[in-house]
Order: sequence, then structure tokens, then C-alpha cells
Amino acid sequence: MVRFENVEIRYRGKEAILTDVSFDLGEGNFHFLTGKSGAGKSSLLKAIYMGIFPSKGKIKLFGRDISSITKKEIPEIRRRMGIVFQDFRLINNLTVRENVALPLRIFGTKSSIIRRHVPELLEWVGLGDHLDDLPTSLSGGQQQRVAIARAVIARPVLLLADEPTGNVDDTIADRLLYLFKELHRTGTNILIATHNENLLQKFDYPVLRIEDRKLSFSD
Amino acid sequence: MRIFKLAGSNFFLGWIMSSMIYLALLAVLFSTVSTLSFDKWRSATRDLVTIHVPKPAEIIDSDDGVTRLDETLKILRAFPDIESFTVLEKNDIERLINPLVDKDILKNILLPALIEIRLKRNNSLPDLNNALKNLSTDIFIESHAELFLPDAKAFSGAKKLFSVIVGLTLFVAMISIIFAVHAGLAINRETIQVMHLIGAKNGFIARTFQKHVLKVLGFSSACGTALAMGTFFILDRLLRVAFFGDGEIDIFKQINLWDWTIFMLVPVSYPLLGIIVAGVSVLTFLRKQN
Repeated sequence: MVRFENVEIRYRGKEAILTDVSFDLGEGNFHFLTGKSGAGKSSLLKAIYMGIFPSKGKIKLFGRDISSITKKEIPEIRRRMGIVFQDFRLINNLTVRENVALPLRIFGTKSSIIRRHVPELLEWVGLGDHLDDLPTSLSGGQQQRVAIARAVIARPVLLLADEPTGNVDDTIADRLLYLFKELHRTGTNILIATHNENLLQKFDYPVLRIEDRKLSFSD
Repeated sequence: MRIFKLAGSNFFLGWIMSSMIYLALLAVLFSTVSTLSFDKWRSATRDLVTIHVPKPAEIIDSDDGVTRLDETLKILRAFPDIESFTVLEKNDIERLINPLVDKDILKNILLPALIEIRLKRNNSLPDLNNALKNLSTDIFIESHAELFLPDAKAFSGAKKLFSVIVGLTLFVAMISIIFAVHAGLAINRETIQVMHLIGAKNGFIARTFQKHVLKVLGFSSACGTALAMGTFFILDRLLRVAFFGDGEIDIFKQINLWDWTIFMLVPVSYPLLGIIVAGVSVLTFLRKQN
């Protein structure tokens, strides 16, 4: 599903953030990606969703070398992924329902299907009573659940979450992780970047650890 | 679903588009009406001449008591290329001159006889001129087509001006759309970024902008058209009252279905062009960004 081969990630004119990174995330997996703040977790996730490209090495996504993917093909590849951000990145002038429906609208899904699935999913994440609220009226935990719902509404094959519990308290963080666990059970592959060691201990999943610009793997 | 925050541009774009369509429609309407009137005037005067016969009552043949006017009419009756002619009554001439001169002057001056002639062919005018000059060198022919020439040039200039006005309004409208689109793209930069990450193609974003532009332009186009029609209706009424008094002038009746179709192209074509311009602007901007 995602393969890194000797990847180096470097921003223009700066030192390399990650060097010689190699790993292989197969199908049906749940992984944590951890490291100190500024270690390069977000950059690694960014490389997966093609927000940046490696300066060295090769990244294979869904079996394809990303260097062979044209700009026109990038949106199609991204539709197979869901992305959850630390700062939620909800669209504040859209309601909760409209935010979650947005991917389906972009993909051209029929309105009747959208009208049925969006409330179902929001009910599942515990926001069935907030369909027509604006994101700014929700708490951090609620906003993150909306972001997760938006990321999974189109049933992505791969879900990337960049510090999804960064802006919420521990109780909410636990609840969000249980949500991810449920998603994994439905078949979604998950990679969560987090520096929250408590979560790593509480939820027993393989960990990719970034230290001194290198990646190590532990089951 | 309003994905983007574009409300700020609504008033600006709507106002500009209404104004430009209003001006363009007025220009097109005035151009069409004046063309129709001009064509009518031109065809009416093309083969029309007026003969001035000074001292019409002067006896030129004392034996028969034939006046200069009689002899002139004899020449006209014999001339083959005259379709019709009318001798203007002295009262009619005095009525035409009355507003321009003091009433007492009319009692003292000897007015010429005016004969209005419609020729079958305008190129027979030199022959008619020769025939009348043989009778008297004082008699002269006034060709209405020649009198009309300076007006024709002025009219041609005015028509070009109307075309320039339409071109300018279109230019301003399209520039405004580009400006509004770019402003919208800047304001919604983060939303667009999120949409790209979700998997939106540039075409989807462009279509969303186009739908917004269509709504704004459609409404403002209707407003501009309604205002233009209202203005024209009022002007039509005013012109009738001010200038044509007891005459029957109905400008609207002169405009046929084809002319109306061309008028309606303005409020339809501006929004259509606007949508195209909006789409191209968005795609160009996003391609540069990527």
C-alpha cells in the first residue's frame, strides 16, 4: 500500500528532515508514527499524500511510483485517501453536514446517496444532533470527529491522521482513538502521527519511530 | 451548497454588471433606432428635390400671360423622369418660416415658389437642372440627398461611438469578473487547499466559481435589462411629446423581431462570456499555483 525506499525529504535550501527512510505498510494495517515535535512526522505524511516530493529515494503508493504520477492524476490518487489534520481544517462557512458531504460532492456522488449516508456517519461518530451546526459552535473534540467523518465518508483505503488528538484532552483523545479502531475494523488502513506516548502505550499497534532523521520500526 | 466565501464580491460584481449591461443595451437600442430612422429618412429623401422658383408670378410671355411658375410646371410635366411633384402652398411656406423670422418681414419679402419633386432616378437631376436653367438661371434645385450628406457622416460617427461603448462595457465587465474571481480565490485559499487534499480537481473548483458567477450575473443582467427597457420606454414617451406633438411616431413599432433578438443577445451574452472568463481565470490561477 505505502512503500518508502531510501527516501530523503528536504525542504528547499534546508537540511534534510528525513534521511534513508524505508518501510512498507501493507494492507489492513494500523500504525502509529511517532517522534518528538519537529522530527518530521507531518513531513512524512505530507510525502504520502504528495504534498511534497522526496529529494532522494522512491515512494510507492498503491503500487505506483509517485514520481510517475502526473499532476492530473494526483486528485484521483488522493480520493483513495482520507486525511485528518491536527487543526481540523473544517470549512467554517459550511455546516457539519455540508463539511462531511464535501468529498462526496467533489466525487460527483448522487444527492440521494449523500442525504442518506452523511447523517448515518455523523450519528456513528456521535454528532447526529449537530448536523446543521457550524464548526465554530463545536468543541475541539466534536470538530475533530467531524474531520474524521469527512475523511472517511468516501470509504478511503488509507486514512492518514496528523496529530488528531493534538488539540483535545486525554478523554476525548481516547474516544477518538477508539473511533479509529472501529474504522480499522471496517477495513481502513490507518497511519496516525502522534507524539502522545500515552496513546502508544494504551493502544497496542505497531509504531514507526522517527529519531535523528531516521525511521525505526517496532511491532 | 456555498463552499466558498464569495458574498463580498456579489455587490461589486452585480452592480458593475447591471451598469454595463444597462449602458450596452442603451447603446444598442439607440444605435438600432437611429439606424432605422436614418434609413427611413434616407430612403425618403434619396430621390427628393426642391425647386426654388424666384418671382414665380413674373410674366415671361406677355402674349399668353404665362408666368414663370407656369412655364416651370410645363417643363416638369414634360420631363420623363419625374414621378410626382407638388407645389407648396404659400401658407405652408410661411408656416415653415414663421418661427424663424419676424411676422412683418413676411409681408414685405417676395417668397419663391417651392416645388417638391420626386424623381424616378436621381441621376436625371443634371438634365432637369439644364432644362430649368434654360428657362431662368435664378431657378435652382436643392437635392435633399446632398443636404443629408453631413448628417449621414455625423450619423456614421455616432454609430461607431455606440459600438465603442458596447465594446468598452464588455471589456469593463470582463475585467471586473477577473478581479472578483481573483479576489475570491485569494480569500478562499485555505478552502481550496483543503479541497485539493480531499481530491478535488481544478475543474471542480472552476465550476463552483462559475455557478456563483452565473447566479450573480444572471440576476444583475435581468436588473440591467429591466432598467434599460424602462429608460427606453420613458424616453420614447418623452420624445413623442417633446418633438412629434401631433405626429404619430412609435419607435417600438419600428423595431422588428430580429432587432429584438439582437438586443436580447446583450443580457444573455454578457453572463455567458462572464462564465467562460471566470472558468478560465480560475484554471489559469490554480495551474500557476500548482
